[in-house]
Amino acid sequence: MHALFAYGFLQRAFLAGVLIAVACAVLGLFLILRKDAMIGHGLAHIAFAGVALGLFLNVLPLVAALAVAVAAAIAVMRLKDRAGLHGDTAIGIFSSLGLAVGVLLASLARSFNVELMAYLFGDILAIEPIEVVLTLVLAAAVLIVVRLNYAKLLYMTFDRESARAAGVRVGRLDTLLMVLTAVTIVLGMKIAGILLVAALIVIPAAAGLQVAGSFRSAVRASIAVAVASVAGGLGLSLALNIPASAAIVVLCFLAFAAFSLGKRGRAIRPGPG
Amino acid sequence: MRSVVRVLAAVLFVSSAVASPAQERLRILATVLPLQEFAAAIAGDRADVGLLLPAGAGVHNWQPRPGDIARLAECDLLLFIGSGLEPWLPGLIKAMPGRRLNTLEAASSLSLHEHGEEPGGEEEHDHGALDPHVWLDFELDLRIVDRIAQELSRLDPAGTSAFSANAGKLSARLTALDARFRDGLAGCRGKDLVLAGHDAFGYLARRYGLVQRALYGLSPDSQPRPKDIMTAVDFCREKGIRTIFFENSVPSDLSRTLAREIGGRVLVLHAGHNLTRGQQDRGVGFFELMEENLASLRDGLGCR
Repeated sequence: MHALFAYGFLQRAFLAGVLIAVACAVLGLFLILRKDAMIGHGLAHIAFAGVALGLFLNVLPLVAALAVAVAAAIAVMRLKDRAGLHGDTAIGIFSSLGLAVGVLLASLARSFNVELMAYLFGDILAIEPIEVVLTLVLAAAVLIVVRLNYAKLLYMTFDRESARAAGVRVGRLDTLLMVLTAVTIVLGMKIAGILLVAALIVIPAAAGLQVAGSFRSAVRASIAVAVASVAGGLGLSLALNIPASAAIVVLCFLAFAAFSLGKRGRAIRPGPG
Repeated sequence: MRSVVRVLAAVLFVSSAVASPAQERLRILATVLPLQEFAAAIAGDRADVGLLLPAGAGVHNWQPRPGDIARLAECDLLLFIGSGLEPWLPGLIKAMPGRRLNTLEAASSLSLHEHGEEPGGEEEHDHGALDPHVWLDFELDLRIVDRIAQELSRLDPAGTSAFSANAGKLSARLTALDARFRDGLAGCRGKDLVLAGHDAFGYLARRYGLVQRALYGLSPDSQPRPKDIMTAVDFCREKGIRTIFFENSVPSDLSRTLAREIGGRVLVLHAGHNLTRGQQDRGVGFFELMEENLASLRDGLGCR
C-alpha cells in the first residue's frame, strides 16, 4: 500500500479510475434500463471516425472525436425514436458506419494507425494531472445532472410514454443523457482506455441491478461495485504484476457473477417472504 | 483508311520503342525507409525506388490496400528486412498472382541479436525472438548496401559500375555516420538508455556501449504493468537518470508519466523505419533522423 504514496502515477490511476467508475456506473444504469448497454462500444467506434476526421481536417482530434460522438449519440437516439428501430439496431448502424468512415478517412489522409491509436487509447497507468481534474469535473457533472433530474430521468426510463404525457421534456433529457454519455466515453477512453470504459458502463450497473430492491439502491450498489473493482483491480495489478485494466474488468465481472448467483440462490430458496 | 491505321500503328510502335528505355528503369519497392534510401542512392537514375508503406504507418501491423498489391505485382525487386519485422509480408508474397516476386531479405544474411540481449551479458536470458531492427547498426547497413548493389547489378548488368561507385559513396557516408556516433557517445555520463516503448534500439545501444532498458519488449502494442513502471522509476531514481527516451511510433503518454515521476524530461528517438507525416513535411530522411537521434542521445546522456 505504501507504493500508493511513493508513485504519483498510481495515485492518479486510483483517483481518475474511481472518478470515471462513478460516472460510468451512474450513466450505465440508465443506459442498461433503456436497452442501450452497447452504446459504449458504439460510441467508441464512432469516436474513431471523429479522431480520423480531426487528423484529416487538421483540427484537434479529441475535440473532433467529442463533437462526432455527441452528434452520433443524439442521432442514434433520434433514429431509434423516429425510424422505430428496435433495441440496439441504431447503435449497430452507427458504430459500423463510424468504423468505416474512420478507416476511409485514415486512408485518405495517408496518416495511419500510429497517430490514430495515440489519440484513441489511453492507459490507466499513464494519466496526466490535468486528466484527473477533467475526470473530477466529469464525475461531478454526471452526479449533479442526474441528481437535479432524478425523478424525471427515472420516470422517462421506466415509462417513456407516460412521462411524455405527464409533460416531462423527454427529448431534452434524452439529449442531456446522451451528451453526458458521449463525453464520458470519449474522455474515458482517451484517459483509461476503451476496454475499461465500455466495461465500466455496463458491468457495475448490471451487477447493481442484480441485487437492488430500488433504483436508488441500484445506484449505490453500482457505484460500490465500480469503485471497489477499480481499487481492487489496481491493487491486484500491483500485487500480481498483471495489466491493470484487464484486472479491473475481471473484478467487475466477478462482482456481477457473485451478485447474480446470490440472487438466484435467494430466488430459489422457498419459504416465507 | 487501312493505311491510316498502319501509320498510327507504326507511330505507336515507334513511340513505345522510344519510350521503352524509360520503362526499363528498374522498379524497386522497400518496406522501410533505410532500405528505400539505400536502394535509391545506389541505383541513382537507373531505378525508381518507392516505399511500400505510407507515411505514419506502423511497419509491424500495416495492412496493404489493393493499390499496394498492384504496385508490388509490378515491381522488379522488393526489399524487406524480414525476421518478423513485417509479419504481413509472407502471406502477401504467397498470395501474389502470377510470377514469383523477386525479393531481397536484408536480415537473412546477418547474424541477428536477440531482443533485450545485453552487451557482454553472457548469463542466461530468455531466448526470445530475434531483433529485426538491424538498420540501426550502421556496420550491418554496410553489408545490406553491398547486397543491394549486387542484386541491382544482377538485374541491370549495364549499371554495375555505377552501382558499385554509388554503393561506395553510400558506404563512406554510413561509415562517417558510425564514426560520428562513436565519437559523440564516447564520453557520456550515463550509459542507460531508458526507453518508454518497445525495444527497437538494441543494435544501436550495443554498438556504442549503451544499455537499452525498454519499458516493454517485443511487441509495440503490449500493455505495461505497474511493476514495470515502478521498476523503471526506481532504476532512474537510483541512478539519477533524468531523461526518458521514447520512440515516436508509440503513444507518448507513458513516457510523460515516467518523466513526471522522476522529475525529468522526454526526448524523442527515431526508429527510422518510416517517416511520420510531420517528418515528411520537414523533408528529412534517414540520415537526418539518425543525426537527430545522436543529438538527443548526447543531450540526454550528458555527453561531452
